[in-house]
Amino acid sequence: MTQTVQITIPAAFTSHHQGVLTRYLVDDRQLGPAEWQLLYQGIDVLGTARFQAGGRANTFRQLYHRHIDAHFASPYLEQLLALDDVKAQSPALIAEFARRIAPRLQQASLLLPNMPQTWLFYAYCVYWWQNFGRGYAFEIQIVRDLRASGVNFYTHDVRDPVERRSAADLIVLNLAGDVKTSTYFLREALSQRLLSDFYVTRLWAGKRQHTLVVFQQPAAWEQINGDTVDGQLADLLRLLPRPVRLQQGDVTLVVVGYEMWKRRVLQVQRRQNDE
Amino acid sequence: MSEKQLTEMSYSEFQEVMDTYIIRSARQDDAIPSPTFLELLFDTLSKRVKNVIQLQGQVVNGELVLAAPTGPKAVQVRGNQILLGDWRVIVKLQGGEFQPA
Repeated sequence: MTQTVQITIPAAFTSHHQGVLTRYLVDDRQLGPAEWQLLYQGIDVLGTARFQAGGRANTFRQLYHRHIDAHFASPYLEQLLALDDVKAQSPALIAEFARRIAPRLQQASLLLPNMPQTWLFYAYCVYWWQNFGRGYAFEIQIVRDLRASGVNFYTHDVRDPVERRSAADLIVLNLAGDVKTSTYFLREALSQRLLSDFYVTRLWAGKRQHTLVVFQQPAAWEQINGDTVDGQLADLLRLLPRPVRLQQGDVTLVVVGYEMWKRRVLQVQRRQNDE
Repeated sequence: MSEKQLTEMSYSEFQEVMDTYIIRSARQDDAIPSPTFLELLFDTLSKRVKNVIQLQGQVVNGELVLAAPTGPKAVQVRGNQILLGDWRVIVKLQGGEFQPA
């Protein structure tokens, strides 16, 4: 049975947004700073686009949660947690689930070959799925590494859909922290203030190389070890892994290499245990 | 192909773009160069910190007493307490005593 499908893309989603989305999907290395910002804006606007079918209207964001998150998140996380080597094995798992998106949307008449506006919804779903998949793969790698390193911490249970959305992924030394890929970290900053005490994330240190870092509120680092060197944004990669105090306007963050952060946390925890 | 907008492609071109994206983006984070990432991060956070209110305080008889700001009425100060919307922020000195409003 065919049903009438109508899509309303907000006028705020301009041809510039679609252009940058297209370039991002083809090869994200083409994008400059303004284009990344445009991409995030465009994705946010697409989330409010409306899909009308069978007399019901839903936003892309609502449909993503109903058709993708509700169906794929838990099975994906179960399989992710069962992997021995998350870093090596997770890309294939993320891609395997991403390939299930198109058939599911086609079955629900949400992806139609003759209706290019539905392609934007599919692109929206895959964009968020890949971010979700990579985000949790990264979080589980960090959690396993902290455990293997002997750091005492509390972490939420990602299998539990409610706990998964808890305010913090980790509690270390009574500090609330999140483990976020650089994209998610940036999006959190764009959508709300950075509410956690610290964020474990990755920075591109070259064309193919990441470096693990911890961004912290200055008070959080003082609790661990107050030493810092002052740095400019452009110097950060050169100064790491030392703790670097970055200040721009009223915003101050302390960034330290992940391994150094872990060592300092362990030192404080051992000292507390000895007392 | 990359010159066309997504919705201007043929369906097979679009599928090819998405298939390639799925493989690439499953392997690695978005390739935001660090300078771009830091610039966006700090610019965004700086813009968010628009409303700054400076409070002055002094310790009187071992207790913190904050001075009311001359700025927005939305912020009120009573003793060691700051009233901001639904929030009541109580600032305690280490080893000091609670100052009732």
